[in-house]
Amino acid sequence: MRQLGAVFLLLSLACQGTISDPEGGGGGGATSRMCRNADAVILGTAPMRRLTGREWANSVRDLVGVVNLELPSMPPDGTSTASFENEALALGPSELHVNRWEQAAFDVGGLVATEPAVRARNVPCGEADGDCARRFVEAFGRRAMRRPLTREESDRYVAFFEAQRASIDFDAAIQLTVAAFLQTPQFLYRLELGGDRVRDAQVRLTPHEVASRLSYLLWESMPDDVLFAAADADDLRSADQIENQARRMLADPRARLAVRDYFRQWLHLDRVASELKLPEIAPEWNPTVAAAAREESMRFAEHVFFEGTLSDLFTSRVGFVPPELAPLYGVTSPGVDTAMELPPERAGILTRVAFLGGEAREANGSPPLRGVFVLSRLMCTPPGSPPADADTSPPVLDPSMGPQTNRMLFEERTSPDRCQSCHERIDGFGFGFENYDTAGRFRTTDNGLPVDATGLALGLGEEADGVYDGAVDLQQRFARSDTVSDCAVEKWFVYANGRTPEAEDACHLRTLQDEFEAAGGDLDELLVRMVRRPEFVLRPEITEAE
Amino acid sequence: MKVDRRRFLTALGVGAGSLYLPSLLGRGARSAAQPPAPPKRLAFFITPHGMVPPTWQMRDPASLTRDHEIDLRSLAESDFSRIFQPLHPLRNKLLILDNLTMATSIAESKRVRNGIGHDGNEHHLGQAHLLTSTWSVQRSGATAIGGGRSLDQEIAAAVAVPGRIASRVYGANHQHPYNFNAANEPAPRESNPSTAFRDIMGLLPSGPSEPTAPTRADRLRAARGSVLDFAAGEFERVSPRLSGVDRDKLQRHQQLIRDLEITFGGGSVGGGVSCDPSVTLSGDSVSQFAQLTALAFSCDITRVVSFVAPHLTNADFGAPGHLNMHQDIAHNSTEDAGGYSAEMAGHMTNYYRAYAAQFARFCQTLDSVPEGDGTLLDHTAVVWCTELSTGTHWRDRMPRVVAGGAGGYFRPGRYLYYAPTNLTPFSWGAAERVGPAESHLHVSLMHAMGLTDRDSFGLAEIEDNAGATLSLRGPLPRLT
Repeated sequence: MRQLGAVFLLLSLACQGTISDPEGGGGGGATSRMCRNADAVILGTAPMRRLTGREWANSVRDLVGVVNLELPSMPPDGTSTASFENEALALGPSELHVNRWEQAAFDVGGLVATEPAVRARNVPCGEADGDCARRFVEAFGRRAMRRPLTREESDRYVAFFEAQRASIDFDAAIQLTVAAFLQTPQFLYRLELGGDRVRDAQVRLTPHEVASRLSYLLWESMPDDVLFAAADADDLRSADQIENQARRMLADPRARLAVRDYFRQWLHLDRVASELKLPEIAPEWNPTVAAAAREESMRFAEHVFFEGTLSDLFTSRVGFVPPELAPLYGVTSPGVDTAMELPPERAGILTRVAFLGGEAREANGSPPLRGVFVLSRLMCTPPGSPPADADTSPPVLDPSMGPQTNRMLFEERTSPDRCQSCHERIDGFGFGFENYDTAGRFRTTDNGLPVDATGLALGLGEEADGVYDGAVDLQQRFARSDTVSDCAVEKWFVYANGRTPEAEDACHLRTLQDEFEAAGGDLDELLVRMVRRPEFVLRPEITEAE
Repeated sequence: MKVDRRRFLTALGVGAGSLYLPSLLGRGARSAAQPPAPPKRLAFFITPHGMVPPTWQMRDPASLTRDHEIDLRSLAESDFSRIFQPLHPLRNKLLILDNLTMATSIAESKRVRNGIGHDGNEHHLGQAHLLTSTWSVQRSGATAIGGGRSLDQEIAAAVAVPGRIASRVYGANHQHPYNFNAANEPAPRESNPSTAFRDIMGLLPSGPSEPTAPTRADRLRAARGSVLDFAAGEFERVSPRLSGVDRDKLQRHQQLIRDLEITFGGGSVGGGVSCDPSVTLSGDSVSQFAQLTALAFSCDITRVVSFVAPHLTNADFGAPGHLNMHQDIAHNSTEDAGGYSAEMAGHMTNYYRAYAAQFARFCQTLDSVPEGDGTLLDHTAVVWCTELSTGTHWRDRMPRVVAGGAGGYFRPGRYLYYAPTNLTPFSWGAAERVGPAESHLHVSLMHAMGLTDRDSFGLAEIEDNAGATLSLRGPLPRLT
């Protein structure tokens, strides 16, 4: 028993993933954060943000104005499915990134220099114009650096441009200057170094820094010309001005892509795409179906975000069903872009194939995976790791025991006391999805026995806790749960700030959570309220290196 | 001798050569003047889970209380343990190390016990510690991840040749990374051999060409160094305005740009004493990455590579398809496991035999490249690491294999058993004595690669089970 023994002691302690150490930067759960004065403006940290792979690619494309520009593949940013890919502390430079950024910068520079349409968009003048170097540097530079250049910066870039022109030629100077801009810290990182100190240790961002906060939150990309113009005119000063821009930006197709990407990460929608199912159990399953399931849930979430509320995410029967997925739902697809009403057992995102087929094994749905999903992603209370020797393989039917349901097998598996300390809660949610098999097909019997999808929901809040029957009932409880509502806001907070909440964020987060609830769980409204907050335009003063 | 186009450009004074530090040019010039001795290289070959003690160990059961060694060179294949039999053809070039301990990882388990909500999963801790030997960072969602720069990156930074690549991480996704640029920052891993090849293509020596006047494209390419010089200047200006980890990131970024800049300066590109740039990649991902590593090493494009081995399917090691590799097989493969069965231990043995065959193939690819008075493998240390020592999560009695002599630094052809010396830092049960900390092997690898002034890596000391200080300083004895 040697090493394995210690973990048993750990288990009951480790089940609730709550960390109270504001320095620790880990864990979730709100117990450590107490807001004593809701009007106080207290800032948590603002770690420098390196552009994620997606932000980098979007920014390069928007900068030069080539929508379908081919760019080299970048290594994935996500190293842990438990966090968002834009987690600031995990994003730094690497040799591989620096090498590939260099190659891409050189190639993009070549495109700007030689492709007439791209050049026309990015180079406002010609070789014969005497001041072309400066006009180009200042026009292109303010978009690449996402703020106007200082005179010194402009001089440096112009000198660089002229040196390359003298050494090679004018076109080379364009190419190499573009390549330089794309490799500077101002392009690759979101630096917030300007602004004025407004109160103790708090600095108000410059209008251009505010513009970038807006565009990377709402678009995962750089600001557009309208937003730049607003920053230039100092029209991002009041909360109303910022709100106007945010509403304009949310109406832009780029916001839809960014929102889909948010839900992809929050709801773990990549998982289904790589799931395999046993052909004898789910013959209709294949990679195309799995990809369609991922797409359908992103499309549904996008719809709910823009047209509905958080409650709708858990109760709506609206579906955008690709033809490949229609047989699993028992419906006829009107085409993926046409909203349809799904059968009653398909209310809410957790009755859709992406979740059900993703949080499942190859032969059966997985109550533990589904329950852990609920606890960690919807309630922000991730359970600890299972003990090292916990058997987390799917239980296999023993023919000598007679027919058994998937649930009975799992109940047997997690029956020991040492399992129950966590599994009481995990399975309390996980068993609620037993009406759906490993491919997400609806069923009322399992292995010839009636399905039992009842469970005890705990921790949702008094208005939502209790015994439920089935995933539709369970999700209706999520829809009215304060815990779920607060967690949804916390996840957006983590995504927006590129870090986990800190003790200093207590009032900021509490206010957002209260406002979100008061606004009926309107998700795009949450983002508007977020950008209206005083914290959105502030940063802590940079202190001397510790 | 092949004419290097970029060196030629620099000689003409075209490009950015004038921007470089004289010392760097001097180093390049020296290496061009005389045929260089083969450099030392380091590769980590990383496989998941751990092995099965009775089927990998070759120790003398009558001598467990004292250090002993076995001469591998004289052993027949049947004398090798079942898991290590595929390594028999390489026996003259192997050091097999029996009974090291992942001391820092175990010490963290003791800490985690007192910290609610910390990720104490032994896989995760093993992965975080394997090449860092320091406390993990607990990330959001309670996920343990490396808490410092990993050994490969540390050594690479010290031995990198200006203008070439310091190191690469290749291979498969084991969910948690092993290699780190800094605490919490995984070193990116390239899983596609073709993409990895494209990354180094530009550094391969070009074929013979007549010296001609540089074309515009040549001059543009050379000017990429000037772009990098400019960009590095911008980093240098801005980083003092930041603090803490943010400043550290920008300073590291600036250094990486400076390193890359030299590539375009022409001072030291190409060459290598055994370089054959005509290689094409073929076979499965292990073969392709082995070929790529051999190419990058022999052409001296990089000196440090980590390879994360691909997952095996049950068919790869002859186990029935219905068994789950992790839960059914690994977790029941040692006798202390509740569900132990000889059958599962047998599957686990075959699983690791398959990895031994992969490791042998990787090493033999390096061994097939003649270099100096031996082969590329002789000038390399290929270290086979596992995140745990068994499928049942032990982290003492680690199996470790070092192939190649690191240019004569190691004395291979031996199986080394290390007698238990240290009290475990385990926090439960009776105190037990275990073998030396793996941290000492890390120090030895740094010494082998020329970092001889280093006395520790990661944590320099921890507390043992009795509360006494356990020093992790100094190299592992008996390797040289």
